[in-house]
Amino acid sequence: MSVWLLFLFFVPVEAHAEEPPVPPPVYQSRDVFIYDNRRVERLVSIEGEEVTWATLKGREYVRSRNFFLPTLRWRTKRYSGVRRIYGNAGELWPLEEGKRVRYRVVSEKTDRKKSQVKRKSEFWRCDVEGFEILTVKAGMYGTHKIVCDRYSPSSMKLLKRKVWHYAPEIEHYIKYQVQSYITAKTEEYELVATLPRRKANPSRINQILASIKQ
Amino acid sequence: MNKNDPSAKLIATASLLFYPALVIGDLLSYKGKSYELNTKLTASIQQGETVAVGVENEAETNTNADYTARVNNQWLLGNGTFVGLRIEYDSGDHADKDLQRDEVYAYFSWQYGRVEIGEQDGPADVLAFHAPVIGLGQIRGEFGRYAGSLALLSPFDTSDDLKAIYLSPPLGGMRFGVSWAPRYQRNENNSNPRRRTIQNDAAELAVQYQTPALGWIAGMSMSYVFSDAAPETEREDIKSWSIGTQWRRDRLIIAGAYVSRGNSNRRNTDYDQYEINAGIAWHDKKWGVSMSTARTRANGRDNKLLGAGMYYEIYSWLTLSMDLVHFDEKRSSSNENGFVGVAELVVSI
Repeated sequence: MSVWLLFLFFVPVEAHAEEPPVPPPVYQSRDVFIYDNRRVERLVSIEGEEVTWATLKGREYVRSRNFFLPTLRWRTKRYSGVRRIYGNAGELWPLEEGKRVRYRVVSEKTDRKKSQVKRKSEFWRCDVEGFEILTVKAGMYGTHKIVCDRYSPSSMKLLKRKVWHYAPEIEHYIKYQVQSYITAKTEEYELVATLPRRKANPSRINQILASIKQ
Repeated sequence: MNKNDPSAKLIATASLLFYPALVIGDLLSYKGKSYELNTKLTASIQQGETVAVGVENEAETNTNADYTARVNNQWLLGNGTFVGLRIEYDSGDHADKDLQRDEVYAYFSWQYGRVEIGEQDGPADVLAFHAPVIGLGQIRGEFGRYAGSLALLSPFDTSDDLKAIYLSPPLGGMRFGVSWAPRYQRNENNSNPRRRTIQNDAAELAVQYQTPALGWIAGMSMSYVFSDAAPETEREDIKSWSIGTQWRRDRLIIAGAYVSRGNSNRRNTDYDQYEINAGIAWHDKKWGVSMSTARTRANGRDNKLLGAGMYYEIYSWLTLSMDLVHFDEKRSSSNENGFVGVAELVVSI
């Protein structure tokens, strides 16, 4: 009898009613997302499953609507990169607690100065862990927690864990954490503000950035 | 420079070995878009100094030269999976199996795990946490070439013998490995069957768990090895296990393990060997230092080891490693203790 009582004591209590499945983002209401590490993500265009974003300085890059996937295409003065995804990464959507995917990413990085292409493969696993109400500087949101682990193709060793808190209300993540399993170092940032396109002028963005404490 | 000076010998031999290796290494490496051929050739010269106190006091100096070749052919297929063939050759007789380079295996790696078939270390060795060792291996390292007995570190296993291995991908922070070796044998052609080692159907099971804790990456591991001894050898089956823990932060590693070998592969049934090992290591980009200790006990034996070691990459092709190990070994019939200092210069291409 006492064993059963002990068991009941440790059973987690559901804080919320079951959340309905969450579809992938279509970014209807917000275009600019500003984070407390001064990261600015500006929506440029959406074409099918691909979303083109720009940094504050205007450098464009393409991500999947599956925002937890690595950047698909990017370009700097010297380098450019392309990533292809293999596996069932898209099956995480609509988001539902307990869903899990595993996929491979093949990256090709081109050094245009040396006319050199480097290719590598990454293995990932992502889980939808559950629903959490989270308060960040931008406000309080209901979020779905997505945990992605990167592991080594040569040893299967866990290398890195990335955690996103995705808020369906604004169709983007409001908190991001990454932890190295080699050095234990962590990095995290959270949303400070979002802006609709009509208000997303450079002076307004700079005003918000200036208000972020260094 | 005195020709008999050990350091002069080291430098002269390293210089002689460097140039041919440089030419061959360049010819044998290739990195394409999908295919990679990595060839690593190393030549090392090692100097061991022993000051041992035993039945007869002895102070001895020995020099060893080793050559190794590692060739890894790897294809990254268009869909992100890997297939490869790794071949290693070792001319020497390194004391530590981790330093031995006689492995040949093919592998296939995809998001649901990695399969290796060939002569390669199994999961009981690969997944087990234990005292960290670097460079020359400290308590399970090159000192054993000159004096004393090595620490176990992880379960008594089937070393590099032919086996099939499966390593799982992480499931949360947990991953596991299994392997099966049809036969583990040493000295198998000896006319006296009792001097042979033949273990059949050797299996290795290992599980490892890692999680962030208190600003560290904390890990636990459990490994188990078992097999059936061939009756003619009159040896015991392998039944060996270990539990280990590892804590990592930045470049610091603190780890240790309890290992039970029991009577594995022994002819006596009351050997009952077990070990506690622990250590600390710092791996930087070009250098590393480590300190480790082990106490290994068995019926009639008590072996205490304390080792410190370092490596320093002088150039990308030249690495200096040094170990100093104190051993104190008590047997029912004799006691031996002393220090072994080992220095090695490795030229690698």
